[in-house]
Amino acid sequence: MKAPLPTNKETVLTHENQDIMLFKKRIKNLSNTLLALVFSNVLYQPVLARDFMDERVEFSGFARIVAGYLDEEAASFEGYDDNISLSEQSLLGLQADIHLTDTLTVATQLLAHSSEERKSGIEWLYLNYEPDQYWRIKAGKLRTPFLQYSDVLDVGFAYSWISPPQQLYSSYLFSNFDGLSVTHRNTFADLNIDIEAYWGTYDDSVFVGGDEVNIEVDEILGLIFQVQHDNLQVRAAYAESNEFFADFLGLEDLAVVLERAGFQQSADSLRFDGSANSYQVGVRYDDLDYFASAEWFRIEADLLVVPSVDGYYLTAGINLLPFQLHLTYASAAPEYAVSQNEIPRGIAPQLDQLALGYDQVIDSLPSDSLDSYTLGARWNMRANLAFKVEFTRLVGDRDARSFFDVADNAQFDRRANLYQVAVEWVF
Amino acid sequence: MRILLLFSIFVLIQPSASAQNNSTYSLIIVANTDDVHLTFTQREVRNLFMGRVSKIQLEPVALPPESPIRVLFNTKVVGLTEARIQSYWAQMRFSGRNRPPRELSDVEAVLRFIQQHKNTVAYLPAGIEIPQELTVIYRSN
Repeated sequence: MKAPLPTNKETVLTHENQDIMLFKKRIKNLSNTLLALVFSNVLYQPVLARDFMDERVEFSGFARIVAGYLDEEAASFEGYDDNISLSEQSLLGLQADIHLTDTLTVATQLLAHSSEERKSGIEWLYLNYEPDQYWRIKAGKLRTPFLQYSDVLDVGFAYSWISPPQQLYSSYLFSNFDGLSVTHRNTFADLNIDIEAYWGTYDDSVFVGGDEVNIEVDEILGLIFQVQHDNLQVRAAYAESNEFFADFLGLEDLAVVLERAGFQQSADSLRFDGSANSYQVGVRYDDLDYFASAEWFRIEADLLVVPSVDGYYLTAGINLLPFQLHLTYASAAPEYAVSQNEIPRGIAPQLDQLALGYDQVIDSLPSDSLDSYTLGARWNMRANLAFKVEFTRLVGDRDARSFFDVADNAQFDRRANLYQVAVEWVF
Repeated sequence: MRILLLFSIFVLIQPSASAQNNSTYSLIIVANTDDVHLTFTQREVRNLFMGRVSKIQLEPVALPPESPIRVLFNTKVVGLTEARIQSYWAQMRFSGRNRPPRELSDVEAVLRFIQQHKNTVAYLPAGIEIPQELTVIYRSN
């Protein structure tokens, strides 16, 4: 079950899929051409223009060193186990903003990550066009803005925690996509309103429970609505991932066997070939003394092997200059659609075995049900440097995976404490 | 006797010292604009310096984080701590949404810059002498 079969995507392509693939390629080519044009334009500027280079090219970056320890021998959580580790979340990011004209910018971000489960390289590379203060259009490789902090997840300096609640900010969400984003900003009464629509495709791999999984999404569509009133911010987002294909946990092996045996419905139920929708609502309030934030996230999928997930967190914090103390409660509960085993039993031993195999797979689908309590402190040492400490009590479901990587099932009650310290830097 | 003298000096000086304190504890927002009657509300000033949509587009200029004038501006006008503002700008910059205002080293540099650049705006201590061509668009209490 561990080793996934090589996917024979090409053989299952329908005409419709081919059309989408072609379209997707065209968009990719278009954005690549645009970027190539832009770069050649920049490189061929006359020598005299160098005087203005400091104004035209802006370099910035962020870095974090995070150490963590989990007081549990029988399992690990987000890579942390009972040995102190510095290499799960430590990273360095570099950003270049090249201003081609007053309204046109090329922006790129390079990431060097210490985790084995994250790839280093270009996180985003896009063309940004801002004709005026009301409109912003981006094209290229962009960050996926599912949640309040998902587009700055690597920039620990931007939030109070060391690790944002795993129940929402889990690594299985892909962090970037190829496509287009249009934002309109405006004011209405005393409100600042941002509306963003994005569209694109995704074809890459993510790590799920230590396994690399190839994911292909032919169409990602999203809408974000954000309202600000003084220091209160409300965000609501919807995202749709269509023509979703993922080669998960080698389930394709069993699906092929079921299909050959004539149980199409059972076979299809194991396939990651469908769509998933997500909903988000987030609130944040800040003043000089206190801050509070909450976020709720729901994923719904029409795939049997992808559970519907409801996750939320509540955070309250206090500013005691130059320190900040905060407390977070987070919870998530996934729910699987009820499977229909269409394989008849008691007819032939082979069929019984197949039925058993199917039931076993369904029963072993991972369930990430987890409550967590986080107490953290942040010390703002300098304007661009912060030191953080964080304690998280993880309370999972005894019968579930609960985001843990369980090594010894019998010995592990799904309860553990995670201790982390971090230095966050922006420059 | 000496104590009495010191005391009387202290009492005499006190009113003028507190008057001076009052002006150093308030701010003016100064813009280089053609519209000499332009005024902003506190909310509009905050929007300007937080990179939000503004009724008139002016380029904000800021002082460094360690400047007491900036601390005063954060406290009286923005209503956020410096740390929160820094986090906010990190989020804006590294998500490709916005960039923080240009920062200049001190009040003199800021004043010189806005004098030389049309459609710029800055916060300055209330006691400061403002060249005629600049417009005060907001006064903090």
